[in-house]
Amino acid sequence: MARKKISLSTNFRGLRLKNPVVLCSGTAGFGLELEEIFDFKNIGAIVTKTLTLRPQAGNPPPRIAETASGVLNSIGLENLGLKSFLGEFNKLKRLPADIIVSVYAHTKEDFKKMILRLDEERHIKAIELNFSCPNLRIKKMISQSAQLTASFVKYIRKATKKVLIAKLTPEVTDIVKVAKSAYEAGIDGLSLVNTFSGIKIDTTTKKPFLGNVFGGLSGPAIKPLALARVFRVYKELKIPIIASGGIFDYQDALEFIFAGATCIGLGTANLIDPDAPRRILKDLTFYMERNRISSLEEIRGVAHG
Amino acid sequence: MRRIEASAVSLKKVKEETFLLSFKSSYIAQKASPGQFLHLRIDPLRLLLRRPLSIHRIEGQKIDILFRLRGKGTRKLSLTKKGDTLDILGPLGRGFNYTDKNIQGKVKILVAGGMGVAPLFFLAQKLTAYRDVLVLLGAATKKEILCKKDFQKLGCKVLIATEDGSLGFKGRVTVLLKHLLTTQYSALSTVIYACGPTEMLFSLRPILKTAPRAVCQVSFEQFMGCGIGVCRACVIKTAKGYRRICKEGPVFDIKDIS
Ligand SMILES: Cc1cc2nc3c(=O)[nH]c(=O)nc-3n(C[C@H](O)[C@H](O)[C@H](O)COP(=O)(O)OP(=O)(O)OC[C@H]3O[C@@H](n4cnc5c(N)ncnc54)[C@H](O)[C@@H]3O)c2cc1C
Ligand SMILES: Cc1cc2nc3c(=O)[nH]c(=O)nc-3n(C[C@H](O)[C@H](O)[C@H](O)COP(=O)(O)O)c2cc1C
Ligand code: FES
Repeated sequence: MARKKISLSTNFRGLRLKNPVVLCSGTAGFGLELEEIFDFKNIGAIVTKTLTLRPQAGNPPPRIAETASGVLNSIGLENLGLKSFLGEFNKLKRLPADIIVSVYAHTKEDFKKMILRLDEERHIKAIELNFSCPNLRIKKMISQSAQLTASFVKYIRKATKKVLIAKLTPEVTDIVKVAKSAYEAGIDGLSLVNTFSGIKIDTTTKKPFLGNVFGGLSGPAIKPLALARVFRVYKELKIPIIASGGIFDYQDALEFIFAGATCIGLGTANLIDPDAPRRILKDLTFYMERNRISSLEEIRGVAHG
Repeated sequence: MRRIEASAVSLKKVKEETFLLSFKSSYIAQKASPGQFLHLRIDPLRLLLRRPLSIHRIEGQKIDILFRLRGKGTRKLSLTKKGDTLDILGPLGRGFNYTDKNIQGKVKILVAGGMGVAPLFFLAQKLTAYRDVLVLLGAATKKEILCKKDFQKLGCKVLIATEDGSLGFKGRVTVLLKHLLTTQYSALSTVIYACGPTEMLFSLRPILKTAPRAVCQVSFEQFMGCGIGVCRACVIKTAKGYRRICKEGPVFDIKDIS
């Protein structure tokens, strides 16, 4: 029996990745830290920790807590700032995975300043706009408003031809509405979803456990919730999606691909299991062989019938 | 740093709620230095995050971890059976500095509060090449004092402090240290290595105020995510801003902590 040749290569709106595995923002640093224990052969792209224009100190500790099947974090965008990042960028270029840079700013203007600088770097393949960081003391996340999302995307879009991805919060009444507004304003793809807001209370002190009170919930606990959002957005828009929310193994990955995801984002898994990318790709390949599937395109979105 | 799978050699109950877990790894035995820790994935079906535990002792290729029951992770770990596979990431972090020139020739005082003995024993193993190692073991009561004989076997001098006075000096181990620094040892000619509850470690600062040039290296704890420096969960405030316990630490110079 002739075997079909299997390809895991993934096309995200013109961005060609060697495989669909993406390391999510905030859970893989800037990649370099992982070199010793991650095999980058198994990673399509890494999304950097979200950068801001100026360095940011982050929230007071404790910043992380384990909950049932989940992790609450309140890092608060601690990062070295765009300028220092670009100073170090040469070291990142040699990583054998594509680099997507995640950015956040309070204002459109600051977003644009950052994008213009990133646009000059040939090795940056795509930019992820973090419209959904839950750990900042601001009233609203950009992606909690369809209008705000549209106006930010429209403004930023003019600054670059690179692939632009918006990362959305799942915490809205109608995520399709927000996704659609980003799409119509010219976004290339979406990153779905960021964490859900939660708290933990220390039963000894009777006070909130995290230094910042609120944290973002990630991990297996949010998988069905994330999957529902990916499912709904893909159904309406058929737009490229980097899915994240509790993906730990190939079956999780398949569920998201069936729902319509283009890329498989690993977040919490990176904190725990450096072998996850290899294992997922190996099992995915085996699944494809067994089911005579030669490319992920054949199974993408099939849950919609 | 690597992820290894090692099979447990033994698990012993050494005291009420305190266990000694042994496994073999030539890689860790070769690479590890005192004060570094291991990140263990304990119960993948029920627990997500790894649990950080210090390297307690290394003999040949045998690595020991000394731990106290705390919650789900350590409870499950205490049920480990000989032959069980351990999923370990390590060795991680930056340990104690014990090789610097300006440390040689000085008296080393190891100050342990409760489970704080865990990394200090491995340090003592490395220090026995030098003379003058004094170990101060502190706990609430006599029953909780750990590793006294082991330190003595290495040739260290051991002093005990118990809060209830059931053994040795009555009071906190840091008070004993203060006493020694004002009577027998000059802070300038000693190097202090400490590990224990955060509150105890912070109480070292006023003691050392009178000896601003004393070297005091302290191992801190914080709730961790990755353990390898990528998530920035495990920070402590230093004079230069937040630093990661898993990467720039767990051992810091107490003067740098704000
Ligand atoms: C660098 C380092 C070295 C350590 N070495 C030792 C050792 O040698 N022996 C020992 O008994 N203990 C040690 N600890 C503390 C040990 O990590 C915790 O007791 C353990 O993680 C508790 O897990 P649990 O599931 O039983 O408790 P739970 O309270 O159920 O744990 C819930 C979460 O809190 C974290 N956590 C709980 N207590 C601590 C703590 N004190 N510090 C950091 N994280 C904590 C756990 O890792 C887990 O993520 C060390 C901690 C650090 C940071
Ligand atoms: C410790 C931690 C830090 C994170 N930091 C960021 C961040 O800086 N920017 C961002 O867009 N998402 C951040 N996230 C969200 C993840 O990228 C991911 O979207 C989310 O955790 C859901 O996926 P998961 O369940 O696989 O973790 C962070 C998540 C964790 C656990
Ligand atoms: S635990 Fe992730 S940076 Fe220290």
